[in-house]
Amino acid sequence: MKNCPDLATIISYSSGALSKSFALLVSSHIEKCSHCKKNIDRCHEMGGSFLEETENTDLDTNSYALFLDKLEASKNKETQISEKDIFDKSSEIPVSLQRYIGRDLSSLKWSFLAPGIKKCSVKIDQKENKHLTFLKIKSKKKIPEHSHLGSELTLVLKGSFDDENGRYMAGDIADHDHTSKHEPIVTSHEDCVCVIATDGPLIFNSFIANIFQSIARI
Amino acid sequence: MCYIDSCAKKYVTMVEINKDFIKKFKAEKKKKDFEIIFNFYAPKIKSLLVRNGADVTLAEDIMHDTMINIWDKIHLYNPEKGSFSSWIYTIARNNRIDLLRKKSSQPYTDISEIDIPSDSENSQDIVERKSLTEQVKNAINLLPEKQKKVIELSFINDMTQDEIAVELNIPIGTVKSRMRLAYQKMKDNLKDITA
Repeated sequence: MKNCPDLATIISYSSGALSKSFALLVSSHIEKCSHCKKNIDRCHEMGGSFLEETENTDLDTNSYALFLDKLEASKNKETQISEKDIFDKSSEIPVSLQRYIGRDLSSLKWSFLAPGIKKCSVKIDQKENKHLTFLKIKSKKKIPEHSHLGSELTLVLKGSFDDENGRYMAGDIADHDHTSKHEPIVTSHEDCVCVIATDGPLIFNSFIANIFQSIARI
Repeated sequence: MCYIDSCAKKYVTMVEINKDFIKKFKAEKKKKDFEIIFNFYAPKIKSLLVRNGADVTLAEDIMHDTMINIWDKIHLYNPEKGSFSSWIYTIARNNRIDLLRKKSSQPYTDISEIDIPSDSENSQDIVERKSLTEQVKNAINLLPEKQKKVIELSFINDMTQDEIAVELNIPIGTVKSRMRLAYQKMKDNLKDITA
């Protein structure tokens, strides 16, 4: 894999400090990136080390007996495996995303966003109304130059795009924060499908694009 | 191996939870063996939860759920992929996110359950794994104080990069660069320790 998340993003993923949308994109990337998997493993070792070093606190009286009661009770509960929990590792959709969008990109319901660009918003959290934004962009189409109020992770699922930092192919992640500006352009012959997680709105450098953004809400 | 009387207080050490012990527990799954695992990890897991804002009753409940997951998933633990503590850490983290922070209706996708290969290992990697957690502990202790602090706030205090920036009154870019440096330094320190 050529383009990976920032090491700071990997550390935050390991410590559990990323929001769910960011964590989903990072885990999707790791599925195909042995380099990042190794970095995550090292970070988990840091977590394990901190856990071992943590001072003990008192447990409730008979805590272990209570645990055994709960364990017995949990054994009696039937675990139902739903269709959504059956994953296909050979799919072009990372396993981490299959719970939300299924095993085939064709199942996404696209809507018009701009000429050459379609959008699909997928809810990933019923409680907090959180979404992932999928974009399907035609070959040679350019997204207007923009920066970010917060951070933005973009995972390429199909096709490729270029920006100031290089070429992003399927499985690659573009990890941008408020300091970076970019103007992605689709370079693959086929449509580029990518999924975006942001924690702040995009800021386009052109007036028209900003008006468009306020309507599109990316 | 001495087993623990549930009425008696005894601090379990990592020496007792060694590779052979875990292998035996995986094969036999005896409750008296699990009590040793419970007595080592449960007070620490609960301690982290209380430290991050859970009241003691909720912390005890989440800790119990975590220990049930450890019992249920023990067959998935592969010592070739990492230390027992790092595996338990990821399970505890997922439960913490799901049940304490309530930031999501689903925990992280448990990538430990998806078979993902790491880069092929060389002899250095194999040496690294011998007592990895102990070596990582030493490597963390060698970090410069500022770098160690951002790592601790992330892993122990459950803080996001934004929260760390506010806590330390530094720009978020500085938080990120300290995290990167800490990781790189830790990796280098691991090589020094194992050399």
